[in-house]
Amino acid sequence: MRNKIKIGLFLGILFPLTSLAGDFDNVFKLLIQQRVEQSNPKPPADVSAQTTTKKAGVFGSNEELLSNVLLGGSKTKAEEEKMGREVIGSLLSVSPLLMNGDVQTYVNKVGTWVASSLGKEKRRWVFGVVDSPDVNAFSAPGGYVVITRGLYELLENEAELASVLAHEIGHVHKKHHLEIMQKSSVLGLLGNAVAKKVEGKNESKALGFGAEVFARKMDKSAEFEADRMAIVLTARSGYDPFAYFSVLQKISGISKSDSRIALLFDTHPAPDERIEMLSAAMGEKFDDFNGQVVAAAFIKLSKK
Amino acid sequence: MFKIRNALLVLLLLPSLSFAGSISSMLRDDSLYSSASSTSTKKLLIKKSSSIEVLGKSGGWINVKYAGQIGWVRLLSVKSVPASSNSDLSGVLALKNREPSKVVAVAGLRGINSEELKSAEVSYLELDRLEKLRAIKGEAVYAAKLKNLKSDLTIDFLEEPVPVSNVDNKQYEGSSDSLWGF
Repeated sequence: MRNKIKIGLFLGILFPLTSLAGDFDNVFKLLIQQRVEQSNPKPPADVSAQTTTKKAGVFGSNEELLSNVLLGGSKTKAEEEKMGREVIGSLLSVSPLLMNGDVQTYVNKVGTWVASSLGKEKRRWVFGVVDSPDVNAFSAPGGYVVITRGLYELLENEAELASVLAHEIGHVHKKHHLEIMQKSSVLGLLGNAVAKKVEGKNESKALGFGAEVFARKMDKSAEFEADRMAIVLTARSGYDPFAYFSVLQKISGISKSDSRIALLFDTHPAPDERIEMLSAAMGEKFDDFNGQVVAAAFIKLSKK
Repeated sequence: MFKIRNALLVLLLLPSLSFAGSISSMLRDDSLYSSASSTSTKKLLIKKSSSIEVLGKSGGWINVKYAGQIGWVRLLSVKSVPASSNSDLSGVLALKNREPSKVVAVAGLRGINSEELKSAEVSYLELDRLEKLRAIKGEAVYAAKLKNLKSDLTIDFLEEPVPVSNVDNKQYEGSSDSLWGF
């Protein structure tokens, strides 16, 4: 009975995602069969085929992962923070923090100030600048936000910095990462099931989440939503919200053949498209808004 | 007094001088205002796609010259102005037919690529460094006050706009191994 309820729940959660994943009916059947077999293990006919079925990932076993990730939306802040540590910690092994205490302290004060404009949000935020020439910024569940040195070097004032951090804060606040992790998990499981069938392997791959979450695509709507959050949080913090347009325009002005920007262009809507969407959302709301640019206090990083 | 005002205006425009004098075009029909405010006098209407000379920027407004007249148009009505100061992200080779997953910056500096990310282990040393950077909220608020920044939580969040031309909600066409960030 309990298994039937579990299967029902599982199907209920997968159903809305079928439009993303295409026709996976057969794979669903395989997955359900796999779940039933895991719940009612049979003695293996061949001991050599009994390979790892419960490999520890971020959440422990695959059983835990299925309930924690696929049945997403109910994670506590502590769970989110744990996931975020794994993700951002992996990124930091690829691109370590910039050795500049003044800039790191400064970015944390600005970021914390901007995050406070969410209002009731009680997340513990931490910000950092990573020593990479890439032009990009990243965030992870739990309140982790990093900006690359390459992007920081393009900035000319504190309002621009605040707007970039606000965009990432928006991703975290709206839980876009968790969404993509859930989708990726489903697709990953489906992929495993297919591989298992094709290759005849009796192996269940654990799905840990590291920095590879940054290698996932996501819907444009999430980027546009984070852009709208960036405008509002920047304005709520007293900065000129149009500073965000300056950043987008700078990115737009960089040659697409420049390798430091190539990855960002590959994964994001074109800056002009983002500007157009923002423009439509803003209308004339901020035309007479008197925000600050804060150029004098901005700690400028010169190009290496 | 007039001179002081002009000097202040110049100071205000300084950060934007990188694109001053460049030519841009209008994204839509919009008015040329006498000053950077929607309550100021409308001088004339500039039609969509018209060429304008960009003189400076202030907040959400662009100072432009059009048909011999100088005035202000909404920033959102003007096509992106390439930031000339940033056109020289030099020292990096332009890679033709690049493979995003294999792209790394040259000049001895390592870029972030997705292959590395996928196999990356957690760096607890760096993670501890990051955790120690957390600012105390009181310090952040104090620093903001010193800059005369005022919080205003009454500003409403923006609604999703009605879909505009050629914008869909598909996933990106780029590589599935592409980075996801800003």
